[in-house]
Amino acid sequence: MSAEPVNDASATPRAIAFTADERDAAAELFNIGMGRAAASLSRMVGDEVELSIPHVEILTVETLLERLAQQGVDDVSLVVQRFEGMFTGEALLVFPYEQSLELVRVLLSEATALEHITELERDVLAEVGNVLINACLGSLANVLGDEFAASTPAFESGAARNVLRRGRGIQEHVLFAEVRFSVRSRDLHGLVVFTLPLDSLEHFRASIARLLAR
Amino acid sequence: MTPLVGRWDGLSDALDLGVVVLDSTRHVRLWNRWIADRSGITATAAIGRPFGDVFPGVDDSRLADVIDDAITRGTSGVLSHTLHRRALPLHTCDASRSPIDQALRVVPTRVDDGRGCVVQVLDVTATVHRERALRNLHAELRTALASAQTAERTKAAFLANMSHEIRTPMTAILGYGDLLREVVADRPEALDHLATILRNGEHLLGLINDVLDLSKMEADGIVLHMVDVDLPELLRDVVETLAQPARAKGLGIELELDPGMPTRVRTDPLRLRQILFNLVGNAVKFTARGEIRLDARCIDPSDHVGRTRTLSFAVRDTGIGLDPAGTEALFAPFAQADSSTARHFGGTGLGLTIARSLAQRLGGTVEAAARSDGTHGAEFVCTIAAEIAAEDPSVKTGRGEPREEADLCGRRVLVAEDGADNRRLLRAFLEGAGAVVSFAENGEEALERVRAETTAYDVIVLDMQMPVMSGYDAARRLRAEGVRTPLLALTAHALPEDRALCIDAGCDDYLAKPIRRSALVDTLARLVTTRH
Repeated sequence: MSAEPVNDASATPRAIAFTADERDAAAELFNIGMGRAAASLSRMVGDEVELSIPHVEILTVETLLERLAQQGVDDVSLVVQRFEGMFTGEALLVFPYEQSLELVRVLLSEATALEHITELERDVLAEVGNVLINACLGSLANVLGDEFAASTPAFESGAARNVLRRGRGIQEHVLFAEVRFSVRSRDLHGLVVFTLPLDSLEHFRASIARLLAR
Repeated sequence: MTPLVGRWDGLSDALDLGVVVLDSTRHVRLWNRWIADRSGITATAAIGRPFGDVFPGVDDSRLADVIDDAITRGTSGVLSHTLHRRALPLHTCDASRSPIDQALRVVPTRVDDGRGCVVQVLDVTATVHRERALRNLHAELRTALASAQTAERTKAAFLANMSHEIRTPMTAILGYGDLLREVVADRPEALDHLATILRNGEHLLGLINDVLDLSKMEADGIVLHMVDVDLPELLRDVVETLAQPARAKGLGIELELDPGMPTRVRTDPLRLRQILFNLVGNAVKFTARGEIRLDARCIDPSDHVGRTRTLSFAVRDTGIGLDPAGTEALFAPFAQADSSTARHFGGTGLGLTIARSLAQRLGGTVEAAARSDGTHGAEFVCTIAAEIAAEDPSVKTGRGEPREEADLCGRRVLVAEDGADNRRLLRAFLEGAGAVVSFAENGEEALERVRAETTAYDVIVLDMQMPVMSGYDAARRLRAEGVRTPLLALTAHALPEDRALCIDAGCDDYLAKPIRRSALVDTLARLVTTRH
């Protein structure tokens, strides 16, 4: 018999979490990448866009879904990019559906209020997601001392419990970062989720711990 | 520097998208035919030069950042057409040389021994146009919808208002006409003219009531008043009322009550009567000879109190019949089978629309059919769902019983009414019945008169719509001051909910304008005798 796979959803999950210091350090690392992303977004919309990541955490898909449900988030739209490097995974930028529409309206200073995401909104969100995810991947690569090749972004929308669980175990750990947008005196928020193998997450946490110890 | 060969060659020229390959130093290594045609720069001219030289202005753009990221960090990037409509200076190949709306993708790839990238350019001009057209259309539709909704509300308010404005003068026309009948009793020609005036006045009033009903129904504003009803009595009343105009045309009306029909049911008698009046009235209108039958039966009969049953009322005539293809159109507002029908037979064409809507509110519907027995004529079937009510022999509505000529001999009546015409009319009606009449022109004046001589009046008649102080306010004040004299409300609003408003304000009864002499005198006589 072979060893049990680490990522089996049915297996008792290994506890993995940041200490308070590690969490702060991780947020700081991601924020370095945000400066460049914000500059890109500002250039894209012709107005100042501020980006920040106030909070980074490691949690299970189940906990993430519970939190979204507590915040009253049901439908989400998300941009997903696959990445490959020392390990393979997916990076997602997730918005509550309403927030994603609002973001597009604010970015385009558009007065017409559509109730649904059409081609135009998809395109804009895919590009915004692309900028943010690439910036985060850059930060991740710096910490891990590796680089990641990422695919072009794809857009999805639907109920959070469906789109976030697709192809993922409920007990699977994810690296989760809250993202705040401030543009044209509006504040909007989304979240970036990295699904990584548990080993890689542990590796990421250990790398941050090493940086702190230095 | 050499152009890329092998896997790229030939293939890229066959693609319907722009393909540019840059090496790790951002020099152009592949330039496909698509991009050459649309940029006006040949592959020979582009290959080997830095991308920023080929397209000056690209260097300080988001595209340059994305290319940088792809080459230095291995990430892929997209440029949406919305945020960068024309990232590169490209034009269509035709004579118009129109600018091309673009979406770009930049993906890292190995070139020689280093990492370069592929820039793909998609022509999304058509998509952009479609999207823009869709958005404009959406905005136009929103505006159109908003103005349609406003117009709808305005129309409903206008109809309700017009109905009120027309009913008030109708009181004077029909009332004075009624009075004149006695004056000209000995002049047959004048009586004949007067009858024409009154008949047309009644027709006009029916029309106004239909329009008001319809506008209320469209606004979903009809409130049902469900009570226990003696069904055979209601049906006999409908038939008896219409027997007179039927006889005038030489037609008979037969009422057939199925033995399984429950006697007492819970429904809105006013609305059920309105539906049946309409259907039987139509049958009378459209039948020249023969007879009209009203068959009432209970589908799935049961005498269990509280059970809901479907009641069916079929009206059959021997009239002009129906075109089977046109039966549904009959129920659309303002539609008669042919517009000349309205001129020939009269009517607004709203009756069936209203009857069906009312029947639907009562849990059923109205359907039309050519007569099922193949004979000439039409058949309209109204169904309603009604709960069977308990027998209550003590309740007698008294309808249909011969009534004595009521009289108000010596009764003191105070009338508060702001319209001079209506005051004169009411004076004529009331003095004709022997009453002693005093007048006030608004609620406040009425209050003053009552305060001055509290016990003197036997009954007070209040018009509800008056300046200075309305009838509603006057009724409330009188009751608040402990005045117990019977109050009769007069209003131009003819809906059941208006009655509730009057009763709530403290009135004992209510009459809708136009006021008929007999109804006024009967009601006042009843109010006076029950109170004294």
